[in-house]
Amino acid sequence: MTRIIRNPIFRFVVRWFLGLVFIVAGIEKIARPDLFAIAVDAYKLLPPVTLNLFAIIVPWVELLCGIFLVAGVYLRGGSVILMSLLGAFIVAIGSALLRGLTIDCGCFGEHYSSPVGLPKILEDTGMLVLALLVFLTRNGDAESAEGGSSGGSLHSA
Amino acid sequence: MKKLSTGKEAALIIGISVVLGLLTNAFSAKPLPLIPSQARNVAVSDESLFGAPVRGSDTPAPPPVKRSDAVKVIAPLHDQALKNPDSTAAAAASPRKEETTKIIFLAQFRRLMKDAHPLIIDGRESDAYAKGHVKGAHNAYGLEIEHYFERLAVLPKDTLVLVYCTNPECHLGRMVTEFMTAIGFTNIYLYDDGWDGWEKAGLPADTTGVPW
Repeated sequence: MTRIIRNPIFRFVVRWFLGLVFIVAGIEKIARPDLFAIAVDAYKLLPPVTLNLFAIIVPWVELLCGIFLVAGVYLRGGSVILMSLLGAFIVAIGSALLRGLTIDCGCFGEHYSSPVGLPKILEDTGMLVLALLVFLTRNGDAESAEGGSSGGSLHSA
Repeated sequence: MKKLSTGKEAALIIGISVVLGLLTNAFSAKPLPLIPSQARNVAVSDESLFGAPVRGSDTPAPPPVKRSDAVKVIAPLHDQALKNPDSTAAAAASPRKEETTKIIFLAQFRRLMKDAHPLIIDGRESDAYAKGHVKGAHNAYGLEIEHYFERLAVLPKDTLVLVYCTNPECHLGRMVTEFMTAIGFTNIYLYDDGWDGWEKAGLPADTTGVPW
């Protein structure tokens, strides 16, 4: 298992997969922040005054984290943010399910709408594990197992 | 690249995101207000609805407005706005200081339906509308309400409009009322309990659909 995790190709695939998912999610939401604000409001978890700021800023956080993951820079900071976001998404979806809300997940903007449900929690949990892997393996860091320079192991190879 | 601690990396990403988010919003065609205006609900009393001259309540009801009979020029620049609905949609979406939504309840909704020949708008998605709606209601999905600009703009601005959605948690009805208020309609009421309230009262569901 450790060998797989330390495999540079595996780590590269994990980084790119996670990065591309968040790039797509971010772009979709940046295109229509008003719809994202409505989707977030449907969860009834955030105070209304914070909704628009959340809808304006969080998609950019997702996009930048995605870009940095793909580029192989700021991996630890990016993966910590993604873990926090995914944790928050899991709590939000779980609480919506417990409250019996039948609402759109709001995960990927207007073009890929899907209702909240257990599959969404499993998806986010899977991505949380991947983000944790990126953080733990410090892929691209000077301290990583391969001791490569910062900037992404396969990019710099 | 200079090595930063995890916290500094995260702070940098969030900082850049804040700047980019605020900048793109500021230069967006439809910027979101940073602090959303608080929608204010005002329950409407029976006296103000039926005691005051709500059109059709005390006098014989006029026939429903047909598009072919409708007045075409309602305000200066109206034709120009019709040619470019996006400009008006953007203007309608722009923040206003205070939104007031006039809320009515089921008995008032039914009485207005019966007495005043209102324009009834179902703000839900077309699937939900197709499964069942209030008889005579037109469907205008709240998220795409600007697409109905040309159909709405030709109606007299004092047309009595009753809007409903699924329930008080539903935003779609408010999006319809806010848009219509922004383009000049003055006589709009939201039946806030919506389709859930209608069904709960055991009232009939119509599935025939009403074309615009």
